[in-house]
Amino acid sequence: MCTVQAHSHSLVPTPTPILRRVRETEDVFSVSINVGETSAEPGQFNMLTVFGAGEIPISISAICKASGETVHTVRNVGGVSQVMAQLRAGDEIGVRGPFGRGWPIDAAIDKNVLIVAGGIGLVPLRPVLQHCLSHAGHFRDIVLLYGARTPEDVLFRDELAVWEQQGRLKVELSVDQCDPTWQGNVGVITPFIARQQIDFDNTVAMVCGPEIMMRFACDELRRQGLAEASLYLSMERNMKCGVGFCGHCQLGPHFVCKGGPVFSLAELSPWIGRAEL
Amino acid sequence: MQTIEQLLAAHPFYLDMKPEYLAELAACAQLKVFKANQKLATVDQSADAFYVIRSGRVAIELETPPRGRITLQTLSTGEVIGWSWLFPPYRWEFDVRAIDTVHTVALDGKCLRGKCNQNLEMGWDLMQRFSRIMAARIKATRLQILDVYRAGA
Amino acid sequence: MTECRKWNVEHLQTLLDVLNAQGYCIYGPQLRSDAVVYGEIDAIEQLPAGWHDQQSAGSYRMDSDGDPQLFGYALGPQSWRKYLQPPRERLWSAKTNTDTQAITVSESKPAGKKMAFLGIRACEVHAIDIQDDVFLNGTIQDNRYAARRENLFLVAVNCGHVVSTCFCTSMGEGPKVDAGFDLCLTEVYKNGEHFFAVAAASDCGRSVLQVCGSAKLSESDKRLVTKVERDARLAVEQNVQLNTEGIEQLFYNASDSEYWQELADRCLSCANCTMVCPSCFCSNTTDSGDVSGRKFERWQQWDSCFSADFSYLHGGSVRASTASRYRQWLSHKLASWQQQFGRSGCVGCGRCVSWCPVGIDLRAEVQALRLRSHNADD
Repeated sequence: MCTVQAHSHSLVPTPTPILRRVRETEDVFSVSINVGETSAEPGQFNMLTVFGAGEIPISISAICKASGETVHTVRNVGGVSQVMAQLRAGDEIGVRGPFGRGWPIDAAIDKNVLIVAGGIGLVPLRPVLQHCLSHAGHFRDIVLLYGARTPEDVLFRDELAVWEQQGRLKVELSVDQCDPTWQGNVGVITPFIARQQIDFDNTVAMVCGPEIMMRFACDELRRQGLAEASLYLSMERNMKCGVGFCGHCQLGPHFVCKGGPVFSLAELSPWIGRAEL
Repeated sequence: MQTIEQLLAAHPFYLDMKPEYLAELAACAQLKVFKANQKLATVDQSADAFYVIRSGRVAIELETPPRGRITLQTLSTGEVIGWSWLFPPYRWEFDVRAIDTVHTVALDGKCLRGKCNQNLEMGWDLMQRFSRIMAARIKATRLQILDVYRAGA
Repeated sequence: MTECRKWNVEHLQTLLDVLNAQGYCIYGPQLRSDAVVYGEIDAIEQLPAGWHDQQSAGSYRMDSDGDPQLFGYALGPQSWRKYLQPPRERLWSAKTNTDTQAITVSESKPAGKKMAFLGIRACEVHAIDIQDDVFLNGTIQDNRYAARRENLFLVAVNCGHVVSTCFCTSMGEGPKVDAGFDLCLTEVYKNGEHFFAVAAASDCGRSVLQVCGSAKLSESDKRLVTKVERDARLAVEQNVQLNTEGIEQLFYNASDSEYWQELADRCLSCANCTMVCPSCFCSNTTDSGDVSGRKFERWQQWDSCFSADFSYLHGGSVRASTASRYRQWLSHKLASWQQQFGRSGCVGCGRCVSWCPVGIDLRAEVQALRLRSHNADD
């Protein structure tokens, strides 16, 4: 697990022009920027400022170490994200980061990598997939279980299809709702965990999605014998500063912004599932 | 070639079931293959069997005017479909349709009920297996109706 | 630490003059609106001579008995936090270049003036030390806080007046200031004699002490000083204490307790406790732009875990109920702070007790929680 130190002016955003804005689904878009050489690791996030509107934490959805191009995928839920959705290439956004502790890629070496994603939760896991697939020899089976609301909400569909066709990745995709044209799976993603024919004793699971979905996934993964220390989740709390100063993102003793957003279930289990914590 | 008994023993639903029970159940079973789009079950029709899915995928559906056919859930290899045979009036409450070619072991409901009434211990074993599936499906359904991926959820 | 020396009241004015000449902006206690508050001072006449506070749960009042003591009060509502982390300040401003459309961001640097705090108490020195854990001692430093903190000159005062809300002894520091100051005073007023014992604990402090001049404390002076310090300690120890034994486990086990709802039935969720607490550090930011759409600013302001949007995620607040917010505040302060920073976040100043409009006293609440958990174990 890596902790990356932010630069000293960590509360001041750096204006950075948008290279591209791509519409992913009806309410999800991606913003690419070039931050030069980046230390960003899969699972970390940046704080993005829309000048005059505000600042929001956004997961990094792709990192190109060589070129410094960093992609952020954002769900338009109103407020700052709604204004960001209107920006065009060349417009400047403020960038702070990268922040937080990312996914434990090293802990997954020589093991199966089981990724369970729900909805927009696929975004911080996409760099893990990219990393694992480009270092395929380092890992055993790489499996993605991905639940989405409807077929139209499925993110990175083409990319996933290519990876799957190349035989590098097993993808199980399931939607909650669909029309009769959908030929894929329907139903929540968590029951798919039990159906995987993998050696759970040699598996690292990485889970990201709505909190309740993650709890169901953890139940199932534990039932399959996965140790809490091999099970990682990316948590969402109200992250405002990214560096543990503002206090907003606390979850029990954890500052989600700097101790997380990725935690092992062993670290989290005393604190999740408790009302209003 | 595997016997039906062996096929059942290899299926997760029958994990660790006593061999004598498997032999009893196999006597009520036959292999059945459904082509894509073929129905395994139709609403209100007599529920004569339940299906152990050996391969392929099925959809549990409802015809809901004016939206048309809605898929509520899909099930695939390693799962079972159908418990309407267990209780009167023994009628299907949903449509079940094969999405692709589906290989199943079909277990005859009337035959099973008879065997379970004679051998209550075996009936209890089978009932526990069904209950576990029902509980898991209810849990999944609850999560599904939460619609956790909608904006602002 | 050098040997204690003797100052009379005039020396204190010399101290202000010396610090002023060295470029310090001096903040000290003053009486305003019937309360002791901190503000800029340059003359000892501004100090609250003769004023003594009486405090209890939900109550604070000042009385004057005409004696000349300058530090005869315990604690006012404000903490020194307001100078190290201002309640509201601009973090940066930005503007768009009309030709290139490029945005330039300028950090709003804290005013460079060195600060001196006169009259800081043991619990407050302790609180600054705790805030240092948050802003200075982690892997990432808050350079604004660091700049303010760097040249801070602390003139501490050992308490000679103790109120019923004081429980610093429970939290391991005070009422005598043991470390972390430049100069430390003990005020003595006995039999018409009024003087200070002064100790220096830093090179800065020693040099200022030398410039100010001082006299030797006689043996009888020393006895009077010791008596003031001992009496204060005895007075705090006689107050209701906060029992911190096993407190992390207590709070962890009590996280689902019905007691939080009973507390919430009294709590107004007004956030006073967090505003007067000297170790609370939470903040929020607000962005704005002018009508031209070319100039932007970000302001930071104190925030409280009692505010509705503190725990906001799109769709709602994680902590919607007062019960959950109170639990967050108290559990963080007394329990999870230990896991975060290796010590409690409470210094025992008792401000949250005095300034709670409904008189919630955390010492009593912790005790009640203990009784509950004890009864639950039976």
